Amino acid sequence: MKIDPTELIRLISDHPWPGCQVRLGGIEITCMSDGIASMILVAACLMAVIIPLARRWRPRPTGGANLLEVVVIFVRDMIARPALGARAYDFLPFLLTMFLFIGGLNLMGLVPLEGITTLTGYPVGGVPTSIPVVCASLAGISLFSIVFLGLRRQALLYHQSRSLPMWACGLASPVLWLKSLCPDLPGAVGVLLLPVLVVLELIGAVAKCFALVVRLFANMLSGHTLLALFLMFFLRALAVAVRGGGYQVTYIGPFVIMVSVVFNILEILVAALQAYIFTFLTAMFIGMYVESVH
Amino acid sequence: MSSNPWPPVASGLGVALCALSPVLGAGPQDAFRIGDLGHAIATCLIFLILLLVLGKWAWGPIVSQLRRREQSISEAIDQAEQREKHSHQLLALYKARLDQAEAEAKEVLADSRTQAAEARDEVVNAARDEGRQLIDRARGDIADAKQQALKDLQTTTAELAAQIAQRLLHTVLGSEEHEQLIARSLEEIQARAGEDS
Repeated sequence: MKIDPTELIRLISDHPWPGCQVRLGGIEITCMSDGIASMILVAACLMAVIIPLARRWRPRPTGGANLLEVVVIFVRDMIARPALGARAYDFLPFLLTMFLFIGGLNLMGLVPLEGITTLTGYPVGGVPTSIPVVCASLAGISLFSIVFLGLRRQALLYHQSRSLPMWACGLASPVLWLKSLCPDLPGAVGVLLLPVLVVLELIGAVAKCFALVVRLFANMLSGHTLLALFLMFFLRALAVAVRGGGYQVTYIGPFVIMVSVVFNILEILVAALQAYIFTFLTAMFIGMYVESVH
Repeated sequence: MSSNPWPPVASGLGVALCALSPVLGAGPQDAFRIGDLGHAIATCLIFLILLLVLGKWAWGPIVSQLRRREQSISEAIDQAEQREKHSHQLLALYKARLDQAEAEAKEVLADSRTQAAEARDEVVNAARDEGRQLIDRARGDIADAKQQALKDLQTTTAELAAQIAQRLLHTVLGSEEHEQLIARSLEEIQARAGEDS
């Protein structure tokens, strides 16, 4: 039984909706695809579930609010507190949104939405986090948050310590932030090493966020590819059996189903774990580059 | 810092992604699609909307309630710690008082024992003195009685002797002679008694 790589790529790749790709200045822009649709679906589901639960939130939550409380407390105690300490509550909304959003996107690959695709003709249900640009955008949000909040904090600190106008502190904030990243080295050696250290620290910050992209993308793509591959085995064996070419499906089928169940369970764990790792590392980088002395 | 810095963060990110747009492009249809600027904008936009909506209607109230709850728990813990501290202080105070009372009780007991011993000694000594005095007095009385008895015996003996002598002599002695005779007899008796003793 031969597996066509093109078919596998087609199965795991993002599918733009028909007529939803525009070209602006030579750059192709996808307005809607199954990945974007999945993101919208996840966001809508999160809003639809969380807002009513939050409205029913009481000091002693009951029912579904209990589950929400478990998630909130988990993010607060396992992600925000260890990385941000006393400022955990200030960043909690951002971290909660990131954790649930990425978790939802990761889990989208396990939700069988092929029926909608068949009915409407528009593909829905891809795993957005197996699209590199989506992962890069999520990591970009982390990187931009780190840089923006770092500049903002340095500007505010400078404004408080020197009583200069805020706009002047804002202009000086990039230099202040870069200086705050480097350790204080005395003498001429310190002056000579400062540019090198600044460059190294900037590369370090970008590399850390790039590692976020690679980790999330590779984990989700590999899981998704494995599931797709096993599904293809089954479908191909079924097709051969229907054409009367053999009965491999009788022994391939149960094996594939069993392995698929195991991989689905594993995929759920990986999805939650990757959401946790991504959010935790983001919180740690914010704590490292913004809130504490580097 | 203001409470919600995320809207400018996300909008700034959108601008940054626009600047990166030339490097983000879709590949051929049969190749693996890495996504394009549309995906990047959609991701940021959806995340931003989600952050704003959930931040306003979900996380805001939840976080404020969590803060309040944590503050009340922290206050309760502080109060409990203060009460514990106070109770420890009270315990130490009562323990000190108890120790003091115990020491005082021991002291009182020791004092009372000493006093009792002293009182017992006093009583015993007094009784002993009294006994001794009684014995001495009794001895004196006995000696006096003995002397008196001896005197009476002497007198009686002398009288008897005088009577006997009178009878023997058939003469009646005059009172002066009588007394002289008695005195002489007494002297003799005493002299004899002295010889006997």
